[in-house]
Amino acid sequence: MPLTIRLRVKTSIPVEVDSIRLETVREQSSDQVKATLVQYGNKQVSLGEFFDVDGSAADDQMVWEGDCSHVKLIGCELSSGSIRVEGNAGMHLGAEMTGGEITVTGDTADWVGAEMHGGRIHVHGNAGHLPGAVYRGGFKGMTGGEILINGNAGNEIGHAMRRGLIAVGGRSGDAPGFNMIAGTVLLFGESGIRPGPGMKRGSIIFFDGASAPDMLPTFRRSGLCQPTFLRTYLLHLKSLNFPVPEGLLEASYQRFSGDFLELGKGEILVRAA
Amino acid sequence: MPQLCVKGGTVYDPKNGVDGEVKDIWVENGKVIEAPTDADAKADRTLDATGYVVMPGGVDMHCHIAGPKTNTARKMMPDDKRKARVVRRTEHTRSGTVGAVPSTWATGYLYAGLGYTTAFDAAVPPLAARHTHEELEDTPIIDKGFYVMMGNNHYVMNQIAANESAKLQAYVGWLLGAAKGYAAKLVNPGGVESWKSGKGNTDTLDSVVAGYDKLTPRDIIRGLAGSVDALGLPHSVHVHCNNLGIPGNWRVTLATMEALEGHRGHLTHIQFHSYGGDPNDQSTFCSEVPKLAEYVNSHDNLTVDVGQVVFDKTTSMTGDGPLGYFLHKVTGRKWFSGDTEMEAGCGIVPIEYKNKSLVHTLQWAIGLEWYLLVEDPWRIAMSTDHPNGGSFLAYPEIIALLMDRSRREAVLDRAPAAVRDKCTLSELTREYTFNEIAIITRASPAKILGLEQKGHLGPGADADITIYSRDEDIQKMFEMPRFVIHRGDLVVDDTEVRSNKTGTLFHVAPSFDADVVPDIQDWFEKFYTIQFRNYPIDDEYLQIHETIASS
Repeated sequence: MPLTIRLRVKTSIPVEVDSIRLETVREQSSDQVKATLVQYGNKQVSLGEFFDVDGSAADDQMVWEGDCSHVKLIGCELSSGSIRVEGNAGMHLGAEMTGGEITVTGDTADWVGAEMHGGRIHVHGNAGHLPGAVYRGGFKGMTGGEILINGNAGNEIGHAMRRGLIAVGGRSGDAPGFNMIAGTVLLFGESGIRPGPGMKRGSIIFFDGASAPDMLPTFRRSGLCQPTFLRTYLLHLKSLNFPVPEGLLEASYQRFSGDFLELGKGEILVRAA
Repeated sequence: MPQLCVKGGTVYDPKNGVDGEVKDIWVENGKVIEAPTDADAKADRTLDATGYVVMPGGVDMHCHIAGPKTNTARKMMPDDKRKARVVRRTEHTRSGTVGAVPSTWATGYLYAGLGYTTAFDAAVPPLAARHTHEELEDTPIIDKGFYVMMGNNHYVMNQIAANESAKLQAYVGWLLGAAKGYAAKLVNPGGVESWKSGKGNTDTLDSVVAGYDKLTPRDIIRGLAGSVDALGLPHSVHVHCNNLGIPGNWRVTLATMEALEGHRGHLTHIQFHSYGGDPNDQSTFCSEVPKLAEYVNSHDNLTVDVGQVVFDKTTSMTGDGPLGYFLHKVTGRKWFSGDTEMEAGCGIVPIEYKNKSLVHTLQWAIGLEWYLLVEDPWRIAMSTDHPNGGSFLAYPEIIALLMDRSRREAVLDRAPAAVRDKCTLSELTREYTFNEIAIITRASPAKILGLEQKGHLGPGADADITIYSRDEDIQKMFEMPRFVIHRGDLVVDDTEVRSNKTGTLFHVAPSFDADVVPDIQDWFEKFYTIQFRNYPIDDEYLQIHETIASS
C-alpha cells in the first residue's frame, strides 16, 4: 500500500506541507511521517494534527486523500516517483518540481507547477491562475515538463515560461503566455482576452478557433499553416488520456507572429474553420 | 577599563613592519597599547592565539551597503531574496537575509564574520545622506562612512564652468560637512548629467557636458581633484571613470589619470575601466591592464581598488545612470533608474557573471591582472565593488586566487580558451604572501583613506583584530576567522557573531570659506525640493561618530 495521507480535520487556515517530501518519507515509517512538522498559519504543528497516515512510500508512491484545497505545496520540488491527490489540492502544487509525476483527480488552486523544471502534472479537474508561471519578480517560469489540465484554468497561464508544455482542456483565463520566453501552450476551450502579451518566442494554440480572442495590435497575421509538430503533441496528449477532440489532426491554423514589442519570434495559432 | 592581551599569535602587521612574528598584542580602552616592559605583566583577560594568524581587522574601502539604492535593489529582486540564505536570530543578533544585497543588519554581521571591521559606502547623493546615516546606524559592529557624489552636481559643474575655483572648494568643503560624508566621489563625471539630459553619455574626457558651452569631464576631474587636495581631505578624490564596461575604455581611464595633473587620485573598480577593443565589436574585447598598471606604477599620486568580478549572481548598483541603462539593454533584465535632482543618477540591474562567458571570464582575469601587475601593494586595495562585481563574501576566494597560481590556472582551464590570448594572466607567476594580503585587505585601504587608526596593530590603533586558524585551504581559512575583535570587544567568538554593538561613523568636517554659504542657500532655494535648513545633517543626528581631521 502506498503512503496514504488522509485529511482528517478540515481547516480554513492553510497548511503548508513542503516538509513532506517523497525523497525523505520513502525511508520513514508512517509514525515518523505523522510527526513531521508542517506550517499551520503562523505555527508549526505535526502532520498528524490534521492527517491520518498509513502505508509506506518505499515503492515511491504517495497518495493524498480528502479535500486538500487548503493544503499548499503538495509535491513541491518533487524529483522522482509519483504523487496522487484523490480530491482537491491547494496552491503551489508541484512547484519547482524537477521530475516524477503528480496526478490530481479534483481541482487545484493557483500556481500549479510554478517554476517547475521537469516531470508531469495532470489535473483532471480545474486549476487556478498562473499554472507553470514564474513567481512574482522572477526571471523565468517553468523551464521544462508538462502541465495537463483537463478542466479550466485561470489567468496568465505559463507566465514567463521558458520551455515545456501546458495544455488546458476547458476554458482558460486572460493573458495566456504572458511574457513567455519559449515553450508551448495548448488551449482547447474558450479563452479570455489578450493572448501572449510580451511573448518573445514559443507557441500558443487555440483549438477552438470560433471562440479565440482578438489578437493584440502588436501581433501580425502571417499565413495559414498545418504544422506537423501539433500532430506530435496531440498524439502525445491522447496517449496520456487527455481529452483531445476529434478533427484537430487534419485542421489548418491561422498563424500570428509577435509580440513585436518584444523579440517577435513567438507565434499564436488559431484553428481555422 | 580592563586590559586584553592577544597572546602568542603569528602577527602580520605590515604598517609596523611585522611580517609573521610571534607577538602579543595588548589592548586597553578599545585601542592597541604598548606591550608592558615587565615580562611578567598579566592582562585582565588573555586570548591565547598560539598557532593562529593575527591580522588587523579588514577595511573595505569601496562597497555599496546603505542608502536608497541598496533598498531599491533589495525590493526589486524578490526572486533573489526568496532563495537567499537566511541569517537566523540568535541571543545576540537579529535576523536577516544574505543574497546579492544582504539586509541591513545581516550586512554588519557578515562583514564582522569575515573579519572586516570597517567599510565605506562609495556612492551617496547628498540628498540621500540622511537615509544613509540611518541605515549605517543599523548596520551593526563595523565602523563606517560614505563618499559623497559630486561629479554631476550642478553647483559643482557651474563653478568649474565659471572658473570659480575658490567657490568650488568652499562648496566641496560645505557639502562634505553638511552630508557628514568622508570623501568626494566622482561617478562618470559629466556623463551622467549628459545622459540625464537625453544627450547620451560622454565618450571622451573632452566631450562637452550637455547644458554647458565648454565644460568637459576633464575640467570636472581636474577641478574636484584640486579642491580635495586644497582642502587637505584625508582621502583623495575617488574616481569612477567614464565609459565603465565599454570595450576600448582604457584610453579614457589613462586620460583620467593624466587629467589629475599630479593631484592625488583614487581610481576605483579599475577592472571595469581597463578594456581594450572596439566598442562596436564585442569580439575585439581584451585586457589593457599592462599599459594602465605601468602608468600607475610610475605615478605615485595614484591609487586603485580593483572591483574584482566573481562568478555568481549579483546586482549592478551604480550612480552611473547610463551604465544601468547599458546593462539593461545587454542583459534584458529589469532596470531601475534614479534621477536625484541636481545631484546624481542611479542605475540598478540584476546580473549574473558566468565562467562560460568569454566576456565575464575576461573581466575576472583583468581584475586579477591588476592585483598581480601593480608592484606596490600599498597602492592597491581589494574590492569587488560589492555587489557590482560580486559580494564582499567572495574576498576569501580572491585571496586564495592571489596566493595560489594553480588555482587561477584551474579556473582558466575551465574558461573559454580565447581568454588566455586576450590577457596576460596565464603568464603572471606572482603569488601573494600573507603579508601582502594583509596590506591589500587592511593596511593599504586604511592608508589610502588616510585613516591612521585602522589597518594596523601599532600603539594608538583601534583594537580591531582578526584571528584566523591556519588551514591548507586558504579560502576556508579567510572565510571563517576564529575570533574577531572590534575596538577591544570580542565580536566573533569561535566563528560565531556574538555582538550587536554599534560601530563608529567616520566623517570629515573641512574648514571652508563661510562667505559662500548665502550663495549656496540662494541656489538651493531656487532649485531644490527640500528646505535648505533641512539639508545638512547635524551632529546630534549621529550616534557614535568621529571626525577625521583634514591636514
